[in-house]
Amino acid sequence: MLNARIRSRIFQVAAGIAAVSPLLVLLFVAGVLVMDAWPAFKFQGFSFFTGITWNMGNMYASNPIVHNGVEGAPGATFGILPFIVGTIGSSLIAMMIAVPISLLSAFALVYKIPPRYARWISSAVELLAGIPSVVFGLWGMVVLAPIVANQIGPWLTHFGKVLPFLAGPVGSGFGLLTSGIVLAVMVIPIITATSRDLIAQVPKLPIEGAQALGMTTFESIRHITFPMVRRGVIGAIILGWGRALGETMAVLMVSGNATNYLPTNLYSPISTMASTVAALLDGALTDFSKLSIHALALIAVTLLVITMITNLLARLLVQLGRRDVGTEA
Amino acid sequence: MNNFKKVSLMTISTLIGASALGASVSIVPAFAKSHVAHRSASVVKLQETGSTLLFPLFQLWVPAYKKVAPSVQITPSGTGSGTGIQQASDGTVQIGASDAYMSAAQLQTTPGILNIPLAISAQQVMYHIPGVSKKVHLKLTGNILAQIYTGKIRYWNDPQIAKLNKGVKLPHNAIVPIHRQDASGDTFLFTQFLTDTNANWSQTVQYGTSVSWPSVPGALGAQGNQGVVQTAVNTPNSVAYVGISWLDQGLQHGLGEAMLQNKAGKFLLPNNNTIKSAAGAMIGKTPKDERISLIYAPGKNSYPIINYEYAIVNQKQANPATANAVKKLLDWAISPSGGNKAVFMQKVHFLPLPASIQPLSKAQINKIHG
Amino acid sequence: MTNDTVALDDSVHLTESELLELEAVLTGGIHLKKTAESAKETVIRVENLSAYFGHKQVLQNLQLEIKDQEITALIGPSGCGKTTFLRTLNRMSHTVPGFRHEGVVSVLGRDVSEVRDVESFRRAVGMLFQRPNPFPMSIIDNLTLALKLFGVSKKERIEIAKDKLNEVGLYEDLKDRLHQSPFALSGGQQQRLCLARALAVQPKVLLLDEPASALDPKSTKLLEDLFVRLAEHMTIVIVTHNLAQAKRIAKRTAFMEAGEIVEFELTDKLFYHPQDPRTRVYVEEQIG
Repeated sequence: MLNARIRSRIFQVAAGIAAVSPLLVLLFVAGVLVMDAWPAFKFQGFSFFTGITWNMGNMYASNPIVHNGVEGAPGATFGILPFIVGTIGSSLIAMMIAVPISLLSAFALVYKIPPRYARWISSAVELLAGIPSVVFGLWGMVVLAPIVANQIGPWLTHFGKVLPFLAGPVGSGFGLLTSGIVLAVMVIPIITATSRDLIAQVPKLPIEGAQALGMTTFESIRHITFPMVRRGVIGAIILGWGRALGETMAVLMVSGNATNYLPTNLYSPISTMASTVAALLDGALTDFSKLSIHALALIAVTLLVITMITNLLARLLVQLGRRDVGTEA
Repeated sequence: MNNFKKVSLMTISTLIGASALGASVSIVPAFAKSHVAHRSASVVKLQETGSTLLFPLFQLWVPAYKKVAPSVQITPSGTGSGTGIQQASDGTVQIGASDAYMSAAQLQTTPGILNIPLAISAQQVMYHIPGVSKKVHLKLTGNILAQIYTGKIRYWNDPQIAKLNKGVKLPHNAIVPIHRQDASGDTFLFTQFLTDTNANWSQTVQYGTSVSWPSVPGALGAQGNQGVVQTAVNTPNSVAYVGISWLDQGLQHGLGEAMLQNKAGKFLLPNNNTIKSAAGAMIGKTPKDERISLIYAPGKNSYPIINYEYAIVNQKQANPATANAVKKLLDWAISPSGGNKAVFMQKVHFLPLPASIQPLSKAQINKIHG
Repeated sequence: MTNDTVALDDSVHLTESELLELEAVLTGGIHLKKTAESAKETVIRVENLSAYFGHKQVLQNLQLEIKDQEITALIGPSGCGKTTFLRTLNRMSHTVPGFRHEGVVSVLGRDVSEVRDVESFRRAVGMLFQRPNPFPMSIIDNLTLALKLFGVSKKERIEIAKDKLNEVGLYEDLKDRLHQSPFALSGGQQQRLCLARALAVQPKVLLLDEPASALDPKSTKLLEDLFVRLAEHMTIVIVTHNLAQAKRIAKRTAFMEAGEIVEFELTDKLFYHPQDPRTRVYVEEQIG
């Protein structure tokens, strides 16, 4: 009896530790990052978020400059607006492509495709989710970028009169659109697999009820299934969006890594925050003043905050959406 | 990705190379020696990390050096020059590899660090211009390249370019300059070349392994030499600087190779003669600590972009045994009958260390202690 | 509504079905019934119906005619195919991958295998399921959603919704909470709401798949009374496990076993004078 009580106690304590550990890890990571990033913020101030010039300074100069009490290499100035724009822009394009495709295929997998084929397709989707991002990057670089440059881009420029952002020049195929497509391909499996599992759990009875009333499959999905899975599906979308915001390697390989300028159209080269941190870390290590490292940490903090904001925003949308389910009269 | 790709490529070529070279000769001795290694109690482990340009060379060296010193285990890895310098300074690794020497300011923060040249490498400028024959080597100057990379020269048929290349039909297409996004010795060399040849560049962008590239619409950044070559191949009207060990790759994919103007005003391609000539012109100027740019060397036949490849080593090693092993390895590496053998150098398109530099490197190596 | 009323005397006019009920109860008289029956329309006609899920045969050679303004019950042990049969009548079986059928199933004069516009067909053939299945939306939206999709004006569809709630006896209880969730309602109320929802699109046939199996006796009674009243102007087919229920409300009953219709007769006759020994065994077992 005592034995059992002790065991239950141990279990409770272990479960408690396990339950709070994600929070602790998050706090720890955030704390370390903020501390690491602080000198860069002190050096640059809020223009860190609005400037478009990123310059780690002349690391081969021998006389460090001091600004706001922080030492940096001569010429050092850190503006990350192009990285913020690139990150949000490419992930939004990715979501615009991925969300409709993922939801359509999730619904099709549950309702339209015979189970024995659906099983195969589902495994393929899950397999796709497990492919390392360099593979997507390589595909984007070798296969997709030329297609964007020679086919997709020129075709989209026809809509340039309506949406100036779509107008040319198309450029090299490395840039915003290609990044968005590669990211879309990477998040489609995540959103599809998660939504499919959710949709499969929706009770069949109300849907049959809707069909028996003479509603089409689309109508019953739209009005019956979707409201029931909306919250979960938005969760899946956030998950995918988070992946798109934080993806590093694949974007690094297809974004064109624009430095010091903002994208002017859909095909402009861009840089994202995650890929910039990865690409510049090695060089920053040779900065004798260490300021470049702090600046990269500040990019990481910014990315963390942006991810949290999008997450909250999406949750807010869910709340509003639920109120919107409104009734007649 | 590029590291990974390079590693796997190099591993494969190393395996093939090693079996082709050594298998028939040394199966039995190798077996005997590995026996000896097992019996000897003290195995010394050395870690090398850093420059991805030097990494392939270390990959070639490791199996060869195992036959020289069976009790030393070397683990090389390609992480980037910055990481190599960092980890050699803080003692995580015994040998860091870098394409660029360390700055004076950086040396001050990490006293006792040596920059030891192991070999000489070079860099070429490559381009992808539709309609320009692959047989033509476009003539370019550092001054023109600086203007391209600052956006002052925007089109291939710019008068400045056309003037140097009479008879070549240059298109009125916007130039896409490609640079290395990651920190790189190649960037260091290229920006030094531009600094030496363009006054505006020398005052604004200056040089480094990672610089703040002027904003040129459509300009692209790429990851690693592999990424630069791939991006140039994909991007018509692009121009890029590429490490010499990736020359073949670029040519195979149809990129053009530019003749660069040297200090004497001659246009040259990089090859054994022009690199040797440039090295010869700079040897006398090499200081004791061997930190020197070899860019834009004087001499009619000197190719303008060459450099030393450095081992970054802390004078003070953890213990005498390790210090000894590091010294022996570096001695072997710079020896013409050891690591500087043509067999290794040719595979990565490097040149051996000139004989007159050997004593300088030797002197530095001797400073290493436990 | 039919005008086939028969004058028993000057003061009392009974509808045909009332008359038939009365007549069946009183005498089981053959005479009157035949007259009335021949005047009724056949709404559902089934000939040589065999059905399969993949390679498995689930219905064998069914033969059946179901007439207007009657309640027809389908009884039989679990897995005998009665639900599959019911769901074949509005093509719901056809939504199951691997389902196919042979033979003729004609509902409201249309062969179900040739129905192209499934949606408008199903509007004419309503269905109520084993368990209440309200949609995840307000009570009023449950009733108006389909109408809205069919393009009925807002004013009109709310009118219909209230009307149907009234018809199933829910309006008084629910009129103040039309905008609340239906999931707070009792099972019986939910099922009546679903019935009102099915009726809102004005079906001519109503298919009931054990509609009271999850309900308490009081709610069951309420529903049964509704069905009887509805049968005055529509065709009702009910699958039930509850033989007493079939006896209470069904004019005719089909007994099914192993995918076959063993016997199809007037309900009383089937229960009290079964012709087939299999029917007899089943009925005796069920009633005890």
